[in-house]
Amino acid sequence: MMRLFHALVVGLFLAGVVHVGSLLAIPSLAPRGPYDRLSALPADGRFVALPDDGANAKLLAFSDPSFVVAACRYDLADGPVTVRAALPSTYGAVAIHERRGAPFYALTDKAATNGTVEVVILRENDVAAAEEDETAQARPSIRIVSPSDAGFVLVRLFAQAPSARPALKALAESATCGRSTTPTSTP
Amino acid sequence: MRLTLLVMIVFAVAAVLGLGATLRAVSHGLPIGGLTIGPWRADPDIGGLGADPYLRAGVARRGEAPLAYGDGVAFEARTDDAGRALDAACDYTLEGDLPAARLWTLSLFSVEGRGLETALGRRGTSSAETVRLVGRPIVVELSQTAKAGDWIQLPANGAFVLRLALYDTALGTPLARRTPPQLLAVKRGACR
Repeated sequence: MMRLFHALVVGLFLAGVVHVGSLLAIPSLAPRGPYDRLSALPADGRFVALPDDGANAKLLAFSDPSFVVAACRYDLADGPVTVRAALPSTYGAVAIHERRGAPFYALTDKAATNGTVEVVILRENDVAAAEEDETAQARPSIRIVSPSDAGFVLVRLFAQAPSARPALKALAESATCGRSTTPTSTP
Repeated sequence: MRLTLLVMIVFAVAAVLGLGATLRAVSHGLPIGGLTIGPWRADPDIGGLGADPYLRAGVARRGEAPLAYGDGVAFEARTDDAGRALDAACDYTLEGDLPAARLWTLSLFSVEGRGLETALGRRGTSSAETVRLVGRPIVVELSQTAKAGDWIQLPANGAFVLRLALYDTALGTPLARRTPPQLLAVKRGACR
């Protein structure tokens, strides 16, 4: 009887270990995380609007239907990536998410100069190189270090009415997230 | 023989309890933490890299791209004010005032987070669409049949989730979290 009790105590202890281990493993093992879901779109290296209907509609769970969303998946293996997006003053935001879906940086249209925002995403190792390249610029670019090599950027524009959606979709897809040409110089 | 049996008991208890606790925590969320106002619940910490492992696992499982800190805070309600699960067979009235935000949207989702299919195709309302009377709170009607005022059609049947998102608000900051404001009351009306 005593040995059964001991076995249960050891089992409880191991259950705690299993719980913590499985919880920490979920983000890397989940097959349908937000980054994987976006693979249904041709969104590698360019922005593609999430469709309103069809098989790819509602690709991201709990995606606000009042917003037009365009997504771009980036990969920093070949160097930093520059995101440039036009955000209308009705409300627009650029959100940068790491590989497992957690957002680590966001800008709204309040931060826009001349209606556009520009952000450079880079790896930790590339920060020093980017700072050396720093030349006098009319507008200093914002540099963000990504915690993971891969990730995705969402451009989210508020649509006041359904009739505004087609124009906003075109605007959201006009955003770019290409390889940075160093040194980045904007007039 | 008895030792083998004991070892099997140990591993069975560990696997069932450990994985069961993980499944429960990831699909229902933790009962503590977050920002709970009436039936509404938000996890503002989800909007940054400081999110705890429970929030991260939930994001990966739901396939959601959560709102970032500087962007907004999203509340979810799965029950009405009395704690009864939301059901498309019933009418609901949402009424109240909302804290300061540049913009708010209210939308309906299935339990898994997909948009709902209704005959009208209108899936929510926002601060740009809703009509407000001077001195009166916001009133939104949810029903399968048409209602006067700001009406959102409910689907033919099933459970649903309400999502109230406030954009460009100070609500998620630690200071504001200590004195939570009121959000919309969810009152159930007649059921069919």
